[in-house]
Amino acid sequence: MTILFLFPLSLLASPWTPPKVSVYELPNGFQLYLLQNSELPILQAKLFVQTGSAYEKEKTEGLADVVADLLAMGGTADKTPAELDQWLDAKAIHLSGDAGRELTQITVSSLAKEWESLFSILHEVVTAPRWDKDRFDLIIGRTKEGLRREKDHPQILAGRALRKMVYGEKNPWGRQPTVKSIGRIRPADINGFYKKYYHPNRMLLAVAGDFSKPKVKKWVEGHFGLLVPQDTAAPDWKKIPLDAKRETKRIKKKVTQAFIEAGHIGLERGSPDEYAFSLLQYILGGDPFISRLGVDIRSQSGLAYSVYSNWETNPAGGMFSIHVQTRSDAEKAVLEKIDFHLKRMAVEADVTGEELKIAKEALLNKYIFLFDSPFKVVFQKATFDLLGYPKDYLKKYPENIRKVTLAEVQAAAKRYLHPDNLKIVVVSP
Amino acid sequence: MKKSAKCLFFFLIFFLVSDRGAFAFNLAGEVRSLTLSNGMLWLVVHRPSVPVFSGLVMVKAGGLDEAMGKTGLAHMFEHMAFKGSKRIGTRNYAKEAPLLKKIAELGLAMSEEQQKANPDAEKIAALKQQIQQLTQEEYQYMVKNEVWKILSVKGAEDLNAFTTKDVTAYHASMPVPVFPVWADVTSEMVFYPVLREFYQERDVVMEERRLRYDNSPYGFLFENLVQTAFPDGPYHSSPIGFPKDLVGLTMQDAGAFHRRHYIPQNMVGVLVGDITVERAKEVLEKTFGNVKKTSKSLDSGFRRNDKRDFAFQGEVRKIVKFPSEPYLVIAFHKPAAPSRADYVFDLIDGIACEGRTGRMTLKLVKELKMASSVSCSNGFPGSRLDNLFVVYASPIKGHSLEKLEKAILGELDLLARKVAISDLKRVKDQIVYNFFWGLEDNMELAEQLAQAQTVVGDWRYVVTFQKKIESIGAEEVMQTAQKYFQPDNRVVLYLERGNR
Repeated sequence: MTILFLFPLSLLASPWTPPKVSVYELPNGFQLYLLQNSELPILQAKLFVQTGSAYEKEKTEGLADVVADLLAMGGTADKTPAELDQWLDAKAIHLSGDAGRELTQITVSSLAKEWESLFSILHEVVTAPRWDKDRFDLIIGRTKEGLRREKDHPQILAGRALRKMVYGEKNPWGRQPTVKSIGRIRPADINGFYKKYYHPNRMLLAVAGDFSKPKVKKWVEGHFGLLVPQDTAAPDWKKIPLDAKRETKRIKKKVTQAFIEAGHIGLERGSPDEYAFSLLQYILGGDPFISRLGVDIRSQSGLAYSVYSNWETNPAGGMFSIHVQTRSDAEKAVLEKIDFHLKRMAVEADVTGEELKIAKEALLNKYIFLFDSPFKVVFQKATFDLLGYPKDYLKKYPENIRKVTLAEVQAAAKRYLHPDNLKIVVVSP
Repeated sequence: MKKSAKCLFFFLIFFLVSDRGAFAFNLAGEVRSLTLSNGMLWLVVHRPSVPVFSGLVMVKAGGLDEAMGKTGLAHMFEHMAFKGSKRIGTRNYAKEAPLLKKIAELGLAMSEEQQKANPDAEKIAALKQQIQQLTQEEYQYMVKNEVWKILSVKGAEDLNAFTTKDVTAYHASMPVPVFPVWADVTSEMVFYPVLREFYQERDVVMEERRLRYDNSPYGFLFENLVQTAFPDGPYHSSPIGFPKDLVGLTMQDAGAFHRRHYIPQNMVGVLVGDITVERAKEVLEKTFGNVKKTSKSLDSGFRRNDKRDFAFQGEVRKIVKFPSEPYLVIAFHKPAAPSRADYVFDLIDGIACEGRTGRMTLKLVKELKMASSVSCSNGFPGSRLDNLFVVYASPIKGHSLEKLEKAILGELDLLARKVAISDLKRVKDQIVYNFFWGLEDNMELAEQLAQAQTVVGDWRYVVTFQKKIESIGAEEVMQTAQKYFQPDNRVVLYLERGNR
């Protein structure tokens, strides 16, 4: 980027520029993002792999995460799992694996003096996994137990059910791991999944902290640079249309509140309406004490401790959702309030210029907090780039927010909020 | 927003400065202190790398300062601080004041009725209706949630507050040019609160209680733990308070609590970020410094009998029922920080539970595969009074709590007999790691300093910690384990599936 990235906040006496990430691509397609900062003698690296639960085949839901866990815990060709555990603890190096829907992260952190051990162990676990059978059993057992225990948390229960209703049980964005699906996973599935997706041309290593850029670059070229790239067929993610029907699902549970989750298909990723929609969202339920839902349901009526709306985008069509818990006899009152606010916006396009002004100011003033830590800066850039956002997405964000007009927000309300198509889940006694 | 009654897994996070090697950031040298003319202490850490700062004000007033029958009051007040002052949150305070006075009278009558053994539902509904009407009338003068609005719109992140048994704290991270705004609004919150929408907010807190305690296995379990381990005294209740007390809290109670505890000498402020102590001083004097020094005693003294010793009083066992998967808790009474024993328990925590090779994790999770997790917490539920070392575990389906208990006690017993140099080295290295990673985030650093200053009485606790830890050897760890891991010093709780 040749244009100087000046911090756009007029509040600041002198302009501040967020630190710039150094971006490299090795000949085998492996990407390396570095951001050096030596204020503290610490270091963290994340290896992003373009795979995740959305890449799983039906009926093996949960596989991507088990693979990531087993990479971090299952030992290497050279080290048994017990040896790996001891080796890491002796050097105070933290290593973990976690699969999201579209991206998997293998994260490793340490004090700066251990930098070489940090990279060598990351390389070792990712390129020479042992797939230890005992650790496989351990991870399967703990994952099943974790899923059993999720049912004890009504919010999680309701959230899972909503996803299923909005996307359908078979869609990669609606599917979720169950005790049954985890039980079906075999060691052969692990290796198959790994072989299919863990290739250098699907990887990005992002590093921040106290290290020498030339040394780390050289090390990475000499190790990750040697991996052989391989092409994998692109996934076939079907767009989900907005379902025309309003539907309510009730789940009975021994609780003293109604846990309400409501939502429908929302905004597509990369939509030019994103900025108008995010401002609309803020006005409806994005802030606990400024947004309409919070002011009405919480402060004025005392009906909930937590009430907010949210949105996400993904290749299948994003999701718009509302979350609230209220005492069980107030369920109807809260649902009516949600409908009232949605209709006021969606049908009457009732959004005021004053509300828009406040929303813009808040989002623009908080913008600096996307950049207040070198770790945030580099991992965030890696994520946005891998998800296919334009390279200058964050840089242009303030400008794009600033130029949204009231008419655009009102149009977004009519286009993207659909109270008549709402899917609602209520977990209650 | 999560205005949390943080009490479940609250414990001091300890750090230390390493004297091994030439590290750039010397915390002890970076903390500058400043005492305002009214006696309020401020700690400032200048970190110019990004033009933002984190600000936190901590009051030495928490759940343990509540009077009997008024549990939940410290936390209730924390919510009220966000409702504004005579200057913020209103277009015309003079017009609001008589309405607020009437609401306070009606609220007192309503609360008295609500606490009766056989409350008159009609009377309560009528009073509630009247309060709602007066509040509606007040809305013509009120500026809704203005405290929050000013700070949030000016860019606040991490804007929140929390109440523990020991303290209450208010915090935000903001762009540095609006530091004077933060100081102004936050000082109004803590020094000149106006208790708007009190009874609506009390309902919000009731919802918070249902969410975090009544419908959460953890909340239920740890609330039961404090009630069992401390049969009376300040640590007997959780910060959220008992439902029967909550419905009795009044505006008068909140006002009295505020007058008693929210005084300059009873608070500490911390700033971490792109602000020098010189620049901060002028703004702080004009805001937090403009409150008069008070001659009131700082003695919390609200509650009776807080020096009672619960240690070594015989084993207490309890089975509680909740509609969830089972849990096990084993806790031991012990002295609070900064006692020597408390440092040793931090080491014990590391040896037993932390990292990939924590002994109990190795044995129960990895080898025997009978638990999906085992965790330790030193210093529950607070550190102003003697507290607990807690081990809690969730069994894998098919393994009984009895078996799990036996295995955990076996490991603790082993700890009293065998501690290797390698055990200590691993934990001490981990502590260095935690220290430096704990400095990464401005707010996290601010919270640690405030916590040490408020609870232990000196922020330097944070920087002298490593030396203390380094001075502890294997022998002392074993002796401490032997002394405290005794059956007559133990509380055991089984959570089994069933109806509450």
